[in-house]
Amino acid sequence: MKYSLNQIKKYVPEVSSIPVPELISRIWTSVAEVESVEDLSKKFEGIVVGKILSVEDHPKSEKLIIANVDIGKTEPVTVVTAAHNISKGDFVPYIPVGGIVPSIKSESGEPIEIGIRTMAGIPSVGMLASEKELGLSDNHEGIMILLPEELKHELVAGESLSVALELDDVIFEIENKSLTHRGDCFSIVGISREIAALYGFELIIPEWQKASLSIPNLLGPEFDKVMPCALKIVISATQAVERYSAIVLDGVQVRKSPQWLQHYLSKLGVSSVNNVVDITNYVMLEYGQPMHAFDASTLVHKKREDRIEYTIDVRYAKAGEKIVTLDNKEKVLPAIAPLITDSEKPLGIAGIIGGKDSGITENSTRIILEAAVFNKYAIRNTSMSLGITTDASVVFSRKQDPEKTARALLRAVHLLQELCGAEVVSSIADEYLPQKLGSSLVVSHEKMEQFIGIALSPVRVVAILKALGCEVVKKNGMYRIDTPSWRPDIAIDEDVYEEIARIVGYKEIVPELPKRGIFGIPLSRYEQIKQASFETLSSIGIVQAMNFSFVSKALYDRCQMPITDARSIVNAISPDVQYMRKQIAPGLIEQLAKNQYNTNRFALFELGKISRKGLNYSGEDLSTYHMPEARFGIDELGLPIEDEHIAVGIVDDSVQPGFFTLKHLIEQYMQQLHVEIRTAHISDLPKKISNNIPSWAKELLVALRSGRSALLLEKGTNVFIGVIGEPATMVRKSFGLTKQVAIAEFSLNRIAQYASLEPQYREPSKFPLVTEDYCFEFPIEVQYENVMLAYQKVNVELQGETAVKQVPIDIYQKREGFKQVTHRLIFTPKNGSLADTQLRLYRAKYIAEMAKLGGKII
Amino acid sequence: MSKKTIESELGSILKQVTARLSKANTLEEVYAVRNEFSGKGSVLQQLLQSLKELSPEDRPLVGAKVNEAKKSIESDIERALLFLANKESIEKDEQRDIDVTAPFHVSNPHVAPFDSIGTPHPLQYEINRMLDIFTSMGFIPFEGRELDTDYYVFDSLNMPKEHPARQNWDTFRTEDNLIPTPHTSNMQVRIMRHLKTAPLRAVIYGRVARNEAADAVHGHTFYQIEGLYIDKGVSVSNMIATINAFVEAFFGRKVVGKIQPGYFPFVEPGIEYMGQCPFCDGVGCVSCKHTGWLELVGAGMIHPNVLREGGFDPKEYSGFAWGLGLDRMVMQRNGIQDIRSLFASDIRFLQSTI
Repeated sequence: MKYSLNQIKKYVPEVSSIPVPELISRIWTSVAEVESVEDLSKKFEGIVVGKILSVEDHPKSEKLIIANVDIGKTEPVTVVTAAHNISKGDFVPYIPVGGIVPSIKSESGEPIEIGIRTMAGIPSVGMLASEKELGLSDNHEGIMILLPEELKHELVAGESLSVALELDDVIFEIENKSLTHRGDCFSIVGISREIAALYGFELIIPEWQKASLSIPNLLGPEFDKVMPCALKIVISATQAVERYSAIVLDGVQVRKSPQWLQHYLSKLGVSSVNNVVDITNYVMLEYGQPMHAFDASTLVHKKREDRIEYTIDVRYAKAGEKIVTLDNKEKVLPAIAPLITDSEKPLGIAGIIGGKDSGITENSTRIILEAAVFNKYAIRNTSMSLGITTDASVVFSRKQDPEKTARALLRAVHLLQELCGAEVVSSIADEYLPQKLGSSLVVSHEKMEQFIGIALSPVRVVAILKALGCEVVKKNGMYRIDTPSWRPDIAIDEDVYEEIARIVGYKEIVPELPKRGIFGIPLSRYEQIKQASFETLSSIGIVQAMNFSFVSKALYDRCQMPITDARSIVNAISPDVQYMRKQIAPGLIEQLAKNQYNTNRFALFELGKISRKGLNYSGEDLSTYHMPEARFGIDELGLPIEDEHIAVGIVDDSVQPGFFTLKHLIEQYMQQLHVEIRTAHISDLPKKISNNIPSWAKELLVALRSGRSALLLEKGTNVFIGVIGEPATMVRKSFGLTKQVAIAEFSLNRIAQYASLEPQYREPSKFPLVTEDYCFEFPIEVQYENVMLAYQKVNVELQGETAVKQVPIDIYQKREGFKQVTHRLIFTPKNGSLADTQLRLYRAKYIAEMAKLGGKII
Repeated sequence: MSKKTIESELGSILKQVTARLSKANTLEEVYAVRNEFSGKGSVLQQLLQSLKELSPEDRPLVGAKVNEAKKSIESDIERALLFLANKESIEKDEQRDIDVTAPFHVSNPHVAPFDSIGTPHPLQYEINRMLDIFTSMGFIPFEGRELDTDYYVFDSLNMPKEHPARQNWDTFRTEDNLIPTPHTSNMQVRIMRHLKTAPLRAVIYGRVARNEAADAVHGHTFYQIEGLYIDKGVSVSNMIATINAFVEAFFGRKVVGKIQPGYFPFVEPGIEYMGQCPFCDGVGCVSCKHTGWLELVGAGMIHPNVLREGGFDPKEYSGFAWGLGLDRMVMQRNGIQDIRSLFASDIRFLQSTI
């Protein structure tokens, strides 16, 4: 909504004493953000009113004429122009030498500065401007002729044009969104009331506009006259209408509006249509009351004796009903749409837009003028469902004051009488549905001070509330407040506190920190593990990526994975955000593919939430869930389990299979969290384990090359933690992967079950340690894990006297069917230095154990 | 050849192709079928040649049939090739050519570490920084849910059904009527009920989603963080001081604040806290779009209906909440122009700090 400061000054004259920047900043900090401020007079600097003294033909050109123009100086100036519409005595806008054309730019986008230009031999001094050049309208046909009677201003040659046209104005704009709860501020009167309250200035409201005046008073002596027309209002859509007032006028002459009205509307960004429409817009901007005029000749009517009877029925649209709107578009109306009808056909969509057929044309003489207040929900829903937003629908989407319809109607009638020769031919028809107007509150002064946090003078509080339109009585430290009909947003004590706080000004509130004790806030264990995960993963060279929680079916298709059981989004704006993800890996594979040529070898991880249709907390043992959301217990039953997963992926160009490179990273990560894991191929595991892995893992295994995939299990318990592997050939093809790629995904909840962040420091042994390399040859099919188990079996036997740590050194295949596995064993004696005999004994034990696997020492 | 013979010939060719393809076990076998039946000099080609012998009125109809058969054979062959290629790739994929229990591959004990260091995602970095500040101020961290019910997203926050503000959030909705939460305030009432006692200090952070078309400054997914404070006698003055303390801790310097009224249904009054741009001291720069001010925080005194819903009697308790979008902070801090870079996972972007 745009506001004219000149117009505000008519209601709050004292505002002239406030510098504009200070006023704007005050509105900003106490009402709503001011989006833009424009000082129009700057645009028209130097431009004056000129009076044409004579017009002569140009001696050398038929296209050009020569005008002598009085610009208030001792000597008139000579202007050569191609526009022929001026004649002696005309007042015109004159841009002097050195002046800037307000709205036209040169081809290079620079402002155009006026100079002396010789046209066909005669120097032209300055320029006479068209409306378009002044930025007042799109009219570029000839020079703008200023009409004193239409401007309501006595014109004098040489006076400033901006004064003559009331363009010495400041226009500021507040975003509609910022006024969601302030329907009353969609008007000059509304913002004027706010400004008056902010500064304690007087708000001057014309007598006839005051609430105390009833309709008979408003209509004056004409009220009792027998009118030639009668208007009956029927409200069938009772939920959509709060009040409907209308009146019939005759003898209306539809034509262009006078210049003052055109210019006023153009300042506020409304284009001029004709005098009738312009008047309804003028009243809407002024009082926040959208109005509409119908051509009465298009309505069905009855003749009874000498009177013509019109009926307006506000009802909901019937099935399949259509209307052609003012902007010439045919709309099929939804059943929720309230319509203005003449009891047969629709005339317009209530509160949104009029119909084309019932609209005002040049030939209209009898009109029905409507001022109504519609229910905000009804208008918002209809406007959204039809996809039509108009100035009226914006205003009506906020709660409006039904008290103002009749008074706005009268204001419009006055203007229509003055500018269009209209005469009143009916009484005001008025359907006012019963409703609550305003609230009564009792608010404590002490609580108000405590809530805001500063001392307040009761006199100030009363003055502010009265300035906002409240009736206030103060008694025994309490205020009894009756709120005005235009402030439905003041309904509870806190609303009153807000009014006081913002009008006093937030900057007057001295900030004071809450008094609080000393306390420490440790992160929960799960959150610590999560933080440790972030830190560890990046410390081993893995870069954190983030994907959306939304995925597409196409992504799952590319991974050969089913989209089944992913929650679909029913109102997604694009197929890319059609589903909620149920694994992290697919998105990460895509990112690995996108980045594969951006750098040589790299690793990415993502930590995020996943969910799955049908997986919720109902019937689950909450103690097995460590993520914070499980803290909320019973409230969360029925809500989807949002498990957090970590996916890690690598792109690698080394000869080592990606599986091992990735496995190594994951082992490092797990080690940091003190989680011991084993990797095992799914078919090597007992059915009890392999059949019970979660669905997300089963689905992910499909995307992996089955010979190079494994489950990650907690070593001690064989509890499933996650999946690791290399993408299947088809998946590699669909993503265009060309390098070594591996991917793993695991549940952070499961990690949290076993992780420990407490480091355990042990003193080293005081006795020298001994290192020996062991190499055994095994049949090729013996899995490495079994070799490890065999070592560990012996290590356990030895642990009373010697701690053994073993490090894999290499695995070589020297001959067909066999592999040699080398480990370095580090023996740390606990009770005394190791003797050769002991080492020989150890060696024998290892050899015996390996022999069970078919292993021979080399 | 007559019309009849051509038609019966076609039938038998189709049968043969189907039979041969169903038995084909290798790509070579399929190629052989293709050469025999559909390529140059194939049976089908010969059949097409013989169309000339037909009467002009029969020609188009039979010709169409032959072409139809040709298409069907070609697509069968295509399908068989794809099937076998898949089968081959599956067979290859099924080969257990590595020992998944081993630390490295046979004859290759070298697993190269990743030598460039890993980096946190810029959003993660910001979350961690904020959590540090909040916890140092005594706020207990809670990560928000992503999928939630109407109750927590709207009803519990003073937005009953039909409340117009519900539409301001442009929420997504799932088939089972859950909402990917459009704000982190969905956790407010939960946390009040969970912690129960005042003074209540909590910080909520998490991922939120809005159903809007993405452009350089709007994403459908972004991160929010918000603080929640409830106690007896908490005032607007306390709120302003706390926000100011937070903002100054965040920027590590004094920040001049400015407050304007704002409207959020779950607070009363609602405010917006603007900070004089710390990147240019209010002179005007890219970060503040040359206004000198940054819209930093949306805040307000918790609406009595929300307090009541969380089990705190608004007659006795009051409180405030304040929140901010992390993505915008990240963008401002790093001079990022396009919000989409945050989720594009381009490693050159993610590693650009090192």
